[in-house]
Amino acid sequence: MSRWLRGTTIRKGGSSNGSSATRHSTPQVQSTSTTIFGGGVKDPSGRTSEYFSMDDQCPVCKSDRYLNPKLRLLVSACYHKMCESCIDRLFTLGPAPCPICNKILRKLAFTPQTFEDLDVEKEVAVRRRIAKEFNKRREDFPDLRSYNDYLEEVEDIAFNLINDIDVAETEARIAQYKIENAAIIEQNLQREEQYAQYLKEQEEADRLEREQRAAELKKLEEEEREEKEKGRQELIDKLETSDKDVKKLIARSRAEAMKRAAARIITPALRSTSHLLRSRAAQSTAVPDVPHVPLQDDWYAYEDKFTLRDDYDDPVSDAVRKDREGIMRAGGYRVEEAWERALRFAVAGLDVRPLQGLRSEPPPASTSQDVVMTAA
Amino acid sequence: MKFQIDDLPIVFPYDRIYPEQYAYMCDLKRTLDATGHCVLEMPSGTGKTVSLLSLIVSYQQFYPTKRKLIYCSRTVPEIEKALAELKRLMEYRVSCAETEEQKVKEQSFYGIGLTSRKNLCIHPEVSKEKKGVVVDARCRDLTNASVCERGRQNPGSVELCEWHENLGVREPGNLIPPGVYTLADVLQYGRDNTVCPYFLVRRMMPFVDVVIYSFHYLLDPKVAEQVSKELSKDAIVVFDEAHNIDNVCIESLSIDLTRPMLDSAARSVGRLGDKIEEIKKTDASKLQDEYAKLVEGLQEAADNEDAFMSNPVLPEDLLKEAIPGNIRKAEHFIAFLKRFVEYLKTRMRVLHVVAETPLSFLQHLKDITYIERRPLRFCAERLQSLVRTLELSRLDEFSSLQKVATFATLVATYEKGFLLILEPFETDVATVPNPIFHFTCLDPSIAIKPVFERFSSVVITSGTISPLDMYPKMLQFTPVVQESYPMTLTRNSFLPLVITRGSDQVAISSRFEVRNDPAVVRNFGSILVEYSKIVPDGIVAFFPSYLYMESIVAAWNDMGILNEVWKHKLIFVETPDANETSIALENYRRACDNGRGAVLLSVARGKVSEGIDFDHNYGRAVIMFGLLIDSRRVPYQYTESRILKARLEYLRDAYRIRESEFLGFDAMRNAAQCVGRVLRGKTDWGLMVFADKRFARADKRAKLPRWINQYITETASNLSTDMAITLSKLFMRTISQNPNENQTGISLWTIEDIEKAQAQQKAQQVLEVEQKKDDTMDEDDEYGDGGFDDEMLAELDLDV
Repeated sequence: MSRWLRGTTIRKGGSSNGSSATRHSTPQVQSTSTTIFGGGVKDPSGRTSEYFSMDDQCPVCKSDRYLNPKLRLLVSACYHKMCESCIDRLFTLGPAPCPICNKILRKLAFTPQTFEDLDVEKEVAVRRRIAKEFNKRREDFPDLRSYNDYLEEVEDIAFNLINDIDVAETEARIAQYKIENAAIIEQNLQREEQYAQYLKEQEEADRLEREQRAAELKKLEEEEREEKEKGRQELIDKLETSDKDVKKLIARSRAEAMKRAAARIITPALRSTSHLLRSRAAQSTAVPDVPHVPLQDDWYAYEDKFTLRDDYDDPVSDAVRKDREGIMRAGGYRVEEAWERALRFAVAGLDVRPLQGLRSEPPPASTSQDVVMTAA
Repeated sequence: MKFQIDDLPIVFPYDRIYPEQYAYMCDLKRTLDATGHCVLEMPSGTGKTVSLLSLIVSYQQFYPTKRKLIYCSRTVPEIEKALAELKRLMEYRVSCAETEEQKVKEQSFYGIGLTSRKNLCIHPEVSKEKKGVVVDARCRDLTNASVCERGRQNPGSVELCEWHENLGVREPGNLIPPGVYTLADVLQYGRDNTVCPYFLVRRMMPFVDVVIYSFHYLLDPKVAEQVSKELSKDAIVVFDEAHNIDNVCIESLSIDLTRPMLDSAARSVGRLGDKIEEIKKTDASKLQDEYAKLVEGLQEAADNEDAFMSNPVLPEDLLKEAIPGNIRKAEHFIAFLKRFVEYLKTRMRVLHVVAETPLSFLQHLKDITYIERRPLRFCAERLQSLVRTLELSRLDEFSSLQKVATFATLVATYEKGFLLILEPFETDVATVPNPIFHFTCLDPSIAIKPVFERFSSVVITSGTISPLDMYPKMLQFTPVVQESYPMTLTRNSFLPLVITRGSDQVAISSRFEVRNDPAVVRNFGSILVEYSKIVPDGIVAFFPSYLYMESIVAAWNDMGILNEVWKHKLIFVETPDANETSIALENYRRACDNGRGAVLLSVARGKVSEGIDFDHNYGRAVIMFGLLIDSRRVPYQYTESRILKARLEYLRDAYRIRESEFLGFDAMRNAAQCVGRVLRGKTDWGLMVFADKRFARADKRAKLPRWINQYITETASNLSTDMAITLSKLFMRTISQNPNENQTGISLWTIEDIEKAQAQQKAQQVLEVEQKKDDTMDEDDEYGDGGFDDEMLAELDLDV
């Protein structure tokens, strides 16, 4: 019933059958090169759109929107605007100098314009880069003061890069920071992802909850209406059949209706389901998906559940063991490995306790009882 | 007249009192004793203000705690009226004081009213400015702390306000001799003694007994922080005419941004940047000082009197926190603001409606521009600090930037109860985008929560706030007393009628399906024609919306109905334009006065329905054409409906108030407000005609105030036009008889009547108590708990 509230976006004049295909279509001029010129601010949510103005003019070829309504200006890596046809003309044959500042540019590096002010465009690009590395959080600092100092430092760095002050020195600072804080950076990146995930889940849960509550209410209202209808019908029936005082009958039915209404107010215990939903969502976020780090792997091989002896009475491998020249063994084959594997599989399958109370000396070869066999 | 309620002596400035006034005072006293909140509904025109003031002043003067009274009203004329009432009351109190000592006590009573600089300025140049913001800004230029300091150190270097300077010479707390001052009195005093009335009132606030000002000074967190900070906790807060208090709360926390505002904000940011560059060259130490202060995390404890804006957030812990590092330096902050404004501009370009929660807005903001939540939260505060450091003048030009900063702070502070809605087009059919970014508060309890938390007694009162239990639910508080008073009349002075069908028996309704049905339109028309024939002087007719009014009036014109009405009365129409409407009103009054008679067609949510009284001959009948229940189908404004929808959804989710319940409540309180316009006192009389089928339903009618509802008889609740006309004629014939009977004793009590009623009450109480214990009516109060006995305490327990 309220699609426009649930989702984040709807089309203007959203008709009831707002298909998702039309959701992101903004009335910007469609161009063949949209696929080529990526970059800019990526915003899948459709909440921003490309900058567009009625008095756009390409500074290179001087064509403007009046002459060419489909004019689309893109921004170069040196933050100069030019139109698509100029870009095609100048840069199709490979890197070429910018007609305005002579910096060597490539066609692929042109991006659509998001902000009206190109300085902000540049600033955001710088910040995007910086935010990747300088992502410490409040929790990483002992007190607020040092956190604030850190924030200011980051701001200084960004400011220098944006306004081209001491670029070399600033770059050095960034590099040094990167080396010093590699671990924290990595960790915070993950945290950020988690948080984004959490937000998404939260939103989803909220949405579900709201839907559910709306459905509940609807059901309640429906029931109420039915009840009322029924009450009225009953009253009419009674009036028809019984010969009691009309006023009394009406009064009684009114009183009953009131009672029912009062009872209804108490019922909203139904709400619990939505609570459940919410708590479930909270749980799922409480146990985050731990990323797999190969070098810190703690693969468990049941080493504590068995002890490998030096020698087993194993008729099958007898011949192999006795073969001193290694004719029967391929390179790297060890009989012990076969025994270990057999033991591990046996223990893993049964999940038996480690063999502790057993004799530690090897059993007499005559009995030829394997450890695993006893356990089994 | 003097009488006692329990042990409290009350001085009432008139010889007679209405019974409902007495009951009102009793309940009010109960609330104050219990230090709780209450919701009271008393019919309009029965002396609400005077009973309120008389009880509370008596309370203040009798008990040594001297709880301050903060009385909030809606408009400046109402404030002035209340002040005049208070002045009269105090004069009466002084005149009937028994001992000399008491007289001195009464004379040392302070009562003042506060309004904007615009209304209180007497500076010869500044006061000539037309716009409120400009007056504010120019006043600040002349009176802010740094300018004053410079001006005092070396006189003549900067222009100062003489009136404000003179105030500084006087002893604080004793700026004006004791007494009650209306706004006009304060202005006169200021002129006579060359002191600034505005700052006089502001500085006297902590010392006075009664402050009367507008709702906003308490509810709007942007203003409340500056003005109402020092008020003590045990103060008594009264919201009069509070039937729209939830909308005031919501408005005070909502902000709308438009393209031109953002452009202006961007320019302001540029100018701030230039100014910083300039200052860096000339006086770098100033910025350094500010920076050092911010690093230390010191909040500026400077007096807030001249603050250009204040932080709209209330959480105390936040205010104590230091400003985040990344906006500490002035140039960083400027870049930050620039980015934020640019981001908002980007959002404005989108051509479809977007609705999102603050959280999702913040996340998107962070994805796009790397602005974090924490610095955003401090935006307003940081801007204020910067403005103070730069000592800027003409701050009114920065008002857009200020709004953006407030927006930033609010959006980063509140997660729940708010919604951002971007509407690119003004109407459904418009093709030229005119985007508005609404930041709307959906929950009225957020703005009023600090008031309930801080003050122990909050009184919410109005002529029409039925159903009473809706307000505690919406504003999230628990009242001690919740009462609606009937109107005691010796004869019915007004006649409510519900017309459900026309003379041709066709049901009439403004329901969407039938509203443009010619039969319905004609029946509406015939009601107007018939009433214009029989009712003398003025008739006020209300329609649910401007659109509907226009279409109906056009149809009436074609049907010849207007010509018919013209034979008997002149017709005036309310328009959305305030000036036009005021001219129409003036002429309407004139037509009513000279006996020509007139009809005013107006809109139920317009200006006329809210603030203008149609007493006596200005309104002998009010006709409600239709009922505005479903505002989704009857959009008053295109944008309104979307926000309203969000609000309804929020109410359902958060407080389990159903859409239909709220809409019904809203429609009925509006209808009550409209019809209440004609009856402004007990000597007044008038007809109230509700012309819609839906008014006949019992559940709708139950939502009308008790004093109206008690006079709707079963027969009068389902009439056709001709029957209604007959009843109306009959009513007017009886009302035009000379009222021979004496009202005294029934609807007008003398002191003997009060004593009689009290004795009766006492006897009843004694009777009740006798079963439990012997005598609780001991006059002296052993426990000193403010004079309420055990019986009352027991009752209170039940209430809470």
